Amino acid sequence: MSSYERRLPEAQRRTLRRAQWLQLVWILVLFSIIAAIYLSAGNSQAMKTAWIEDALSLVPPIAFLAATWIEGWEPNARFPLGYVRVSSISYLVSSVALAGVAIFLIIDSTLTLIRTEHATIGSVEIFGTTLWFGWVMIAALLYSVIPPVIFGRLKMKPARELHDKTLWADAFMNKADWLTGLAGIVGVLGIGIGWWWADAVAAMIIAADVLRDGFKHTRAAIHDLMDEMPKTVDDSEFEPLIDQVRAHLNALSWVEESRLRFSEEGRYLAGSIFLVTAEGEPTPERLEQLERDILSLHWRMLDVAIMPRSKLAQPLVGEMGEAGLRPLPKDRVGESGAR
Amino acid sequence: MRQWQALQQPRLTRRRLFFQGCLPTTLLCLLALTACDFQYPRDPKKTLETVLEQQRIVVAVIDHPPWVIVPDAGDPRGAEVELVESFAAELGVEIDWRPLPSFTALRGLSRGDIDLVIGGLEQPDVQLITGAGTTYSYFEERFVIGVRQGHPLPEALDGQAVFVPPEEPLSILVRKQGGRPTDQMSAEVVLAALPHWDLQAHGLQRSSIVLRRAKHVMAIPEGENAWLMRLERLLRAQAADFDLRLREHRE
Repeated sequence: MSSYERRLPEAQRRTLRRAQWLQLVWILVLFSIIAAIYLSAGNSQAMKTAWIEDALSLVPPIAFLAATWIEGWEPNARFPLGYVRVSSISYLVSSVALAGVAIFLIIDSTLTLIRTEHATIGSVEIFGTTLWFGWVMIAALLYSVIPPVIFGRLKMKPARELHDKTLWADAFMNKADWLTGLAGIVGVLGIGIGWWWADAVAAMIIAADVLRDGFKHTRAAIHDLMDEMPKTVDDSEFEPLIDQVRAHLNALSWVEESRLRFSEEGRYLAGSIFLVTAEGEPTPERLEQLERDILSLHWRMLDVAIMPRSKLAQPLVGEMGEAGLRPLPKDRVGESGAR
Repeated sequence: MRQWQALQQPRLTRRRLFFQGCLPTTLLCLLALTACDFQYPRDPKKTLETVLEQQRIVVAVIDHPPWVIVPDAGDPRGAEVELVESFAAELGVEIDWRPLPSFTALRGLSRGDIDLVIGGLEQPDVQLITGAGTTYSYFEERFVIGVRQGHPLPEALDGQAVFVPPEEPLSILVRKQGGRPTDQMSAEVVLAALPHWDLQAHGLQRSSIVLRRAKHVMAIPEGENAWLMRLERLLRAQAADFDLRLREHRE
């Protein structure tokens, strides 16, 4: 049986559709924010930074919509494993975009400080009264603060339910957006007091915060593509589902020893199980039964290959808990082993 | 793995405390400062204060009739000069006129003691200069195709001869619109490229063909926002009939 024909269960499919609508509405709201900030940006560095950050916030929702669309395509002769890993790619794309722009923003505001450019903000006439344009900027920034907080909260739940890291990163970015808006307001008020540097410093703080997020998510996305042990959606701990599989195997009387090798395929898990079994076991029927049982543990279980062995090779590293961020010892380079 | 988690948590919390604590506090302090200070916005380099203290503005003038006309002797005249004169009167200060070439004048905003530069300046030109800021564009000048009385208004130029006065270099724009630029105003030439406020004086009617729009500004030292606000208030009050002033001063 080809496990790749499995699809999301009905409840998750409904959540996915809701999340897609949510992102679509969010993109529209985001366009209105981008327009408001653009029209009021004037000469403020912090406003420019906030604008670029908002424009950039378009990348994750678009990547999410594209990935969830492609993910549903049928496996074919050219892509026999289907397209489920596309969401890992969309996660990487979103996080690299985030980090890249943050670096640009930091350079840009540093240059403003070095060149001691003073932001010139004049007046504007609204309904016959002459106002300082800074107030308009602050109003636009306030508008940009509220919707992302709401949408960020709304996205957390589907992200967890769907185990969607793009959506998760996006939700977090949105929740952090209010800081950006606030820093921008501080910058504009600073200009008004005559602290020309306040604006660029505010822009730098915003950019540093964006860079942190970008770096964190880029690292997590690269780890996923490097087949790191599956982690929970918030990247805080290893996936408990693996322990469930291990417990399931340990409970079987005909299994003497087992070793698991799992990795993330987009929102799913796939991997191999190596088994040392009792004499005369296992029969093909038994293996098929075991495969069905493991796949039915959770909808995230996409594919397992079960391989009976006479004995298990010594793994390269200890069991889970090993950080693994060291070079291999020279005598073991090239050796392969099951985790 | 639990250990790893324990390592991550405190850092997150500290950062959160920093942002959630510091930023709103700064915001409140700034708002408080704003509230007890009547002068808002303020100048980083105190231009407005200095002008009021010394009872004098230094205005660099660039010869550009009829905006600014700098005679060999005596004070300058012109449409923009009038605006600056009423600005000085409102502030109750003297004007120290400094006739300068345009780049020297604009660079002087950050290098010298110049408070204001006038001379038919356009927004993009000023924005190129480091240290120079602009007012809002208080007057939009449109270079249009004018037509002699009694001739039909053209939809397109279609190879017709268009008189381009030598003091306004517009021949490439005329060619782009399909016209044939000429510097001779003869009887058979019925079209001319001119600023919209100058058509009447030449007895021309205005066609719908616009060659170029020029956003006119004055230049101030960059970032001097209180100074800018004062100047812009005056411009908003007095620049409404600016084309009348231009017509008055044309030679």
